[in-house]
Amino acid sequence: MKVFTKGLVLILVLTMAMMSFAGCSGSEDQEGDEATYPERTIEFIVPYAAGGGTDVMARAVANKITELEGWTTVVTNIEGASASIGSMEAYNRDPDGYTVMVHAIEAMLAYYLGGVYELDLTEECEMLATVVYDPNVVSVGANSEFQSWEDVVEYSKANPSELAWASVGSKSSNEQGSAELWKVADIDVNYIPYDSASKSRTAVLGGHADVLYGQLSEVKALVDSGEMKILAVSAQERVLYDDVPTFAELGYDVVNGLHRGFFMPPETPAEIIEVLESSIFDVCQDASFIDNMENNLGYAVQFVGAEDLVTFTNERRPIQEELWNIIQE
Amino acid sequence: MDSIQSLAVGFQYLVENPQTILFLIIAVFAGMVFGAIPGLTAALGVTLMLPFTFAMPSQQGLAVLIGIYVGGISGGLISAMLLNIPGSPASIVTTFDGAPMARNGRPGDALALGVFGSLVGGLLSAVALIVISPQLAKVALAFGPWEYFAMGLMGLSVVISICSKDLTKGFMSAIIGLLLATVGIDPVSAAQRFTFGFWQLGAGMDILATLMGLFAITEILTQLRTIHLEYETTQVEKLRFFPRASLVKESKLKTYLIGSALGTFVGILPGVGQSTASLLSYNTARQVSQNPEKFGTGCPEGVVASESANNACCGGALIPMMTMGIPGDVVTAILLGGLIVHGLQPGPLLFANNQDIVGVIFIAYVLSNILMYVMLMSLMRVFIKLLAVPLNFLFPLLLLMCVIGTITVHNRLFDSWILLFVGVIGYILVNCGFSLPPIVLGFVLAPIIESNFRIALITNKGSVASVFDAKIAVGLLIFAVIMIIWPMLMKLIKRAIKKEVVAN
Repeated sequence: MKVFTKGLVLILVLTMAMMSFAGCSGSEDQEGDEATYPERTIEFIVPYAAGGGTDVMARAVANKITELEGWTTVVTNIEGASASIGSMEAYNRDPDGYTVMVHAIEAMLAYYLGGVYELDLTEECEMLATVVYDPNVVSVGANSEFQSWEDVVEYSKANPSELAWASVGSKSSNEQGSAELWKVADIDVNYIPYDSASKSRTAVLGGHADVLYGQLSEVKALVDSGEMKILAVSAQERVLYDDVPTFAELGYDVVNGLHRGFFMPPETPAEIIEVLESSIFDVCQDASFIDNMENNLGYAVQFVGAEDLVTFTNERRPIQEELWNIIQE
Repeated sequence: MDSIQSLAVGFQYLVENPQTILFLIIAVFAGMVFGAIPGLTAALGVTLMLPFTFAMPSQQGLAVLIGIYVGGISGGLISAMLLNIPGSPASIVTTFDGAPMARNGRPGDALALGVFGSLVGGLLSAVALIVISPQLAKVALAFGPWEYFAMGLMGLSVVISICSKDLTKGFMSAIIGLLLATVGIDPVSAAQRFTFGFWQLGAGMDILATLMGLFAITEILTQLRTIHLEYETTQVEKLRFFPRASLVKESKLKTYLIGSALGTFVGILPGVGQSTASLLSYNTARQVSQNPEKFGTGCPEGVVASESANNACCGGALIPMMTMGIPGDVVTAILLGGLIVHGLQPGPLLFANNQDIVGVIFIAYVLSNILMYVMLMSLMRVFIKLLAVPLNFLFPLLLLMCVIGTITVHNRLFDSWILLFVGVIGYILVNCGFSLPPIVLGFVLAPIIESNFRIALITNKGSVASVFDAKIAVGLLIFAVIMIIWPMLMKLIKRAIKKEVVAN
């Protein structure tokens, strides 16, 4: 009995210790004096589950910042509900420079327009920097009857709303990006909103859906091994694969993907944002970071600073509004 | 024979770096602790340990994560049996027979069988993982939305077997569970459902908070009423390192095979998970058993069916992760992230490019299962003492762990309110004569059933009849229907025979 109680206490203490690693982010003093920033741990809130693409990117950036600047960083995952739980948590935090939100511009816009988010976070939050451009691609299983984007267009014109177009999420940036492509190509397909990338991928691999619309990073591993084939990439120029044409080259002028990066709670001081922005810029110049992002995650590193992001978002907003109207029709 | 070569390379790594085995032992033990404490789960353990493994070489880091995974899934059986509170979602089904068996004065037998079943399930799934994983992954691809839907319904038909006493209330409970699962942003059309203006409910009711509310809080509230009474300590039977041969015989060889096979297969399917695996295995074992009426009263077959399946599920979940870079469950999703952080590209090329990693994962998985067995069996004496701990010491501790666990999952306080709310509702329901397992079944299976049904309808443009094109789904559905009507059919036949006898 005695031994047991001791064991129980030991276990309890151990677990509590572990918990405190996960839970503590420090909240002692709030005043962020720019001259000495950062004085304590910078917390990155990832609104997606640990181990996903966004999470791994955030961790890689946080680790590099620690390595290059010597600042302490911690990554917290608050996932769920189309990333709204974590984003709202970050949005409500004190703007003291110690909370950084990880998200993507196009996704925030899409969820706001679709009514999933109550706030336009691209307008409310402060822009920090995006570090990767993850272009949307249309891909198929290696043995698919569709061997080019033209095949897909031809088939869908001959058989309206027959083609099973698998993607992730409803009212998501995926649906809006798809809609943009359909509009330009003047085709009509059957949009199937799976609830995770792993399910939509499995569906296309297993022949339960015809094409997959999603980010390049989601399919890179399967493309490298020859299980899947990318028909076209939605970017300004060819990304990672030299033999995959862009939609523009094929005559469909659509550039659509995710600018994944970092944002801060409203009214975070500009001085702090500058400090962080320049350290993230340095991260993006680091060869091992670029290599890790491109080879293991399939993310093309492309730094966009705070000011450019504001311009980009303002250009992007009306386009997505229009797309949203198309979807609703 | 790529796998054999990987095994050799992995083995060589372990011989050259024996400290990895030491880390693995610690990891399995930590995993067991996480699994055994209600409120803390394998997934939580792996998430918390992930950052610590960044500093290790990739082989070592992955071995540690797998150790926590296996230990965590296995450890849940301890509290499921001894306290009737599943330590983690994977061991929900273990409470059906494990808990009554322990209460009937056979806690040692129950634990021994559960641990033995876990070992068999784990090792058989390891064989599948090492020998035929590419082929198995291909089979899993044949599963489309209709098949997932049918599988979910099959799981739900278990309600019949666990609520044969009061079917009406059983069904009502299952429906409550299904309804609880609809809270949050609907996955297909992104509409808000039953959130009552709380944005925090957007992600739905957290599964851990709901589960712990239903099992732990309800159990604590119920026991509180009798806490002042003296209670008898159960006499514990003699403990051995291997379960008695007669006990293994009692639990039937075929149960182990069913559990391992179903567990491995369900593990391969993305997004299904351990609780469904053990549920399907439990139900199938009951169908083929000579005495199905004993299920739910503390029968060894039920314990083995559940425990062999949930461990086999781990091996199964590793298969699509290794061969296609697609995670089979929550924990393997985190493991995938672990691979990337260590600079490895998960996916089909892993086998070709990183044989040492593949080999270490194989060996770590097998070793973790063996270590889990050795540790659980030798510490059994300590666990059984849990039954002798006065409840007024045990309950506050449990409550604390549940609250900590639920908060840690999403790093927010809101989930602890869900825990309390669900617990109180559970207490009221139990007092009205409802049983809790069907609620949990409904809650766990609803997302699988709902989203796949709707995806199937969208894919086939609203045609329900398209289910007949999906041959596997039709087979599964027929099986489910038979399971549902079987008890009623039997009753009718018996009554008819009786009438005839009386008439004669």
